[in-house]
Amino acid sequence: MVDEPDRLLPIANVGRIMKQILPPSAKISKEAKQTMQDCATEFISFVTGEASDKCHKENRKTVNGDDICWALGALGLDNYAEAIVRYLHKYREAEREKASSRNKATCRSSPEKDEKSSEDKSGQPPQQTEAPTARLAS
Amino acid sequence: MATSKKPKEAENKKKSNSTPVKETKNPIKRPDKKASATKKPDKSKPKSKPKPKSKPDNNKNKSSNGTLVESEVIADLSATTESKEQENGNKSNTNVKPNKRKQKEKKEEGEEEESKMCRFPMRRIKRIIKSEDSRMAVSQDVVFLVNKATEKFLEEFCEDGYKCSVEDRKKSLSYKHLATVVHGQSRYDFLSDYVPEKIKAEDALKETNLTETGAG
Repeated sequence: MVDEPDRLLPIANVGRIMKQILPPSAKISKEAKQTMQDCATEFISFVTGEASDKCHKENRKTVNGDDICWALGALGLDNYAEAIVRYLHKYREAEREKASSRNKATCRSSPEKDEKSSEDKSGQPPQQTEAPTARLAS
Repeated sequence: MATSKKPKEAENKKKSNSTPVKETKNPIKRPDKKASATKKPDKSKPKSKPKPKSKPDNNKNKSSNGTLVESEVIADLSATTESKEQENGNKSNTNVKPNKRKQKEKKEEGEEEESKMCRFPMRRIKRIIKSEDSRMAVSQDVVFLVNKATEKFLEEFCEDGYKCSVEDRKKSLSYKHLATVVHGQSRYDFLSDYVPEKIKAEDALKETNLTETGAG
C-alpha cells in the first residue's frame, strides 16, 4: 500500500514554483494547488510510461535520458524536449567532471596510479558516461 | 593596598589572555560563519555531533570557498586540540573524526548541489516512476530530467492558468481557470480526466435527459 501523499509530489514545492511564476499580488486557491499537484504527478507518469513502452519494444531494461527526450517529442511536448536535451548534456558533463575529480582524489593517495590514469583517461571518457547509468539502476 | 592589587590584576589578565587560545582565533571564525549562513550549512550541522566545540566543522562546510578555508581549518584544529588537551586528556580521537566528517560533507555538498538544481525530491519522483512500471530500471539522469521537465510543465501550465484568470478579471487562480486551460489546448488533453470542467447539476440532468430521449 502506498500512501496518497507519497504518491504525489510535495504540495509545498508545487506552491513555491507557482508563486515564483505568478506576480506577487496574485493568489492561488488551495484547490488549484492540489490540482496542479495531481497534474504534475500525472505528467511524470505520462512521460515515463511512454518512455518505458519504447524500451519494452526495443527489449531494453533500463530507461535512459534519450528515451525521455524522445517521449516528450512524441507526446507533442516539443517545448520541453529541446530544453531537456540541453539539460541532459549539462548533466552528463557535470557527471564527467565529478568522475574525473574522484579519479584525481584517488590518484593522490597513490602516485603510481597517477601515471596510469593519465594514460587511460584519454580513452576512458565514453566509458565514464555509461558508468552512472549502470550504477543506479534499481 | 590598592597599588598591590593592580599587578595581581595584571597577572590575572595575562593569564586570562594566555589560556583562551580560542579567543584569539575565534574572530577569524566569525566572518566564515557569515559566509556559511549564505551557503546553508545548517543541513550538515545536525548530522555532525552537536558539540559546542564543533566550530571547526562549520569551517569545513565552507570548503567550497577554497584552500584558504582549509588552512584556517588546520589552524583551528590545532588550536582546538591544544585547548582540548588542556581541559581533557583524550583528544586523539577528534583528529580522526574530522577526516570522516570531511568525506560526509563532500557527499552532502554533492547532494546539495543536485538539490539546488532540482525542485522536487528525487526519491519521490523515483517512487512515482516505479509505480508506473515497477519492472523497469531507471538511471539517475532520467530522474533528473523528469524533475526538470515537470518543473517546466508546471511553470507553463501556471502561466496559462494565470492568463485565463486575468481574462476572467480575477486576482486568484482557481480550479475553474485550470480546467478551461486543459479543455482549451490540445497539448493538455492527457489531463482532461484529471481536471474535468465543473457543470451545474441542472445542466448535467438536462444533458442526460436529452441523451435518453434521443436514444428512445
